[in-house]
Amino acid sequence: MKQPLVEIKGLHKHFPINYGLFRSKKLLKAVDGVDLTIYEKETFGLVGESGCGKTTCGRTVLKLYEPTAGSVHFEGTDITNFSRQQMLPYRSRMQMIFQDPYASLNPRMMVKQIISEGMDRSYSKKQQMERVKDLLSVVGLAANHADRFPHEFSGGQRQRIGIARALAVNPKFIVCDEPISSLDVSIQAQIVNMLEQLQEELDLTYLFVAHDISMVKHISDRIGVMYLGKLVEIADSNELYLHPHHPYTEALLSAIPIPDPDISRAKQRIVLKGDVVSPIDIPPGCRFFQRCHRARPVCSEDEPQLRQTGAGHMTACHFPDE
Amino acid sequence: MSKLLEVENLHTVFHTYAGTVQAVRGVSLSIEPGQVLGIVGESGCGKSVTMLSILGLLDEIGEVTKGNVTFDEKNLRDLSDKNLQHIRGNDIGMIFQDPMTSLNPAYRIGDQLTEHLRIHKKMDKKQAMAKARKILVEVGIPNPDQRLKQYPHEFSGGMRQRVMIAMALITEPKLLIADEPTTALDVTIQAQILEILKDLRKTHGTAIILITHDLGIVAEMCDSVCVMYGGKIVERAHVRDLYYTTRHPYTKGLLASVPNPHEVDGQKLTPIAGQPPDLINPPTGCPFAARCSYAMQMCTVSMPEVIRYENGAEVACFLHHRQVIEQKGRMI
Repeated sequence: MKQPLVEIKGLHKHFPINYGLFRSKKLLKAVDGVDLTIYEKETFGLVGESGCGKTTCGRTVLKLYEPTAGSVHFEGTDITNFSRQQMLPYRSRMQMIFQDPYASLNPRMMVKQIISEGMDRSYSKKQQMERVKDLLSVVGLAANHADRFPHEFSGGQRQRIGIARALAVNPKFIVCDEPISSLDVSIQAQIVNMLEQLQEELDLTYLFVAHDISMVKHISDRIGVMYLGKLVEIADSNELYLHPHHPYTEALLSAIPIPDPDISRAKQRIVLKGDVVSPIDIPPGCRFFQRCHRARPVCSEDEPQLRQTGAGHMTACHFPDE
Repeated sequence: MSKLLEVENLHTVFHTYAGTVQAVRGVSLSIEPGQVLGIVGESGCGKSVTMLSILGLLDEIGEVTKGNVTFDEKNLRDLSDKNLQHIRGNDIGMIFQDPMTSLNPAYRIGDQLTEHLRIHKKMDKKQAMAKARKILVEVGIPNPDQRLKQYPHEFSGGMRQRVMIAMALITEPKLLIADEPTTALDVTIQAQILEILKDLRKTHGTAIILITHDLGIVAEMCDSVCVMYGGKIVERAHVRDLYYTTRHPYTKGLLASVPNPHEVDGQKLTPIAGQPPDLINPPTGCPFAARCSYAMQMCTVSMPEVIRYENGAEVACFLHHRQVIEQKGRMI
């Protein structure tokens, strides 16, 4: 039986925004009720358009943001209301790899300082440096890179440093927030292969957040599709790709350009109308209602909840079978 | 068929403090009217610089040192700035990568759209606005009358990119150069923009040069493709030819490093090891030799000549030279 590692229940993260003459209080509902279980040693992919709340979701799970409501359990312990002090032992078990390798490394620190900063201080300086060298070789860099500064590296190499930093504390769970989207195609594959290999060697669990669906499908065991702060569909990655139940997933998948001229020219594309609705004034009913080709009157009144629509397949749609 | 644009042996350099960067090192390409040509390559391979050199839009440190650019039987390198501007305004449209920064935030969309018409076509304001309204409808922007009076910040990313396309199209150019037109956008919005570009070509017969690093977009949109690496074109072929009978190891590497969602299970990505070359001191041989798993000794010494095939494909790789095939057999 698969062991749940991270359990998220009813997670909400709202950001207050103040503007206007009278400082009218409004809420940006970035994450608005997400239920999710991530099992040990799996890769859970989270996809969706920009602004759908996938990054906020990842950050809230790590308690980099305080959740507005809901709970996060890590290995069965409720960490939702833990103080900074209480979180400390958990910080070394859950780590993050950031999107922008140019902004996420301190330009004034040497690589060895960046990587060793989070290490347990009970190790001697010498042990720490040994470990830095080990980690550098794990991520495919040379030992002498430890004495250099971030500006001396290319984007792909910097992302490797970011991964080495995350691995330095022996984590179990890593949130990968668009780790490859700023890299070139040939370098993306290097990083993705490395993440897969590390997972196997170190028994890691990933929450892989990205908007590149073909890459997410490639790396993930299960995929969750987010739209306006809510999960609209969860399924095994192949099942999701072959039999999407939610019309948004369907449209998202049909929009992927496929690197094969015969297939990509033959396929029928569902072109969505319009843009994503603002997460500040979310209309009642289904969030996808205005752009949906299946929309019926009931959709504008009643918000569909995530429910079972197949083996291990959850969908939030009133008409999942069409 | 006659060529709309022909570039021969183009060289562009940038004079920087670190040294002279040889960004484009002998690029030749051509496009016929109504054709869609894709230019693929990683960042820094010179694809955008090639286009900027063609249009004479390089900034001060950039310089075209060699080569010919013929557009519509005119040599663009001989033209004065004023005549070149006339061509850019009337006959060649350009869409830039980042719709967030390519529009002037201080002017209304209507004013920015009609600037072209008023300068280059000498239209009066009323005529120009009517035309702008029509073109906004064409690129799928609802409520055009209201939209013309709005400022760029009132538009979303996808809408701004539509405005950019509208701006490039308003003078009905013969050639549209689109530099990574969808990179900053979400897939669903990307799909909308690609559909607009396809329609455009169908209805107006506009030739399009599409610069991208996304092999999926190339497969879907282009008739023929140039693959660039290290400031050179390493392979050029019709789109089906390129994907199904790939000739250059770099193209092969690129195709193997992107996941194809149609493969159900167990597709292993094969990345290209190493880093792109430093173009301040470019390698004397093939630029890809350092990362190429087929590399032979001669690859690092001299640049392979371009081999032309009957169907129009071209490849610059020693593996396809006759002597190599005779000695070692066909390896790729």
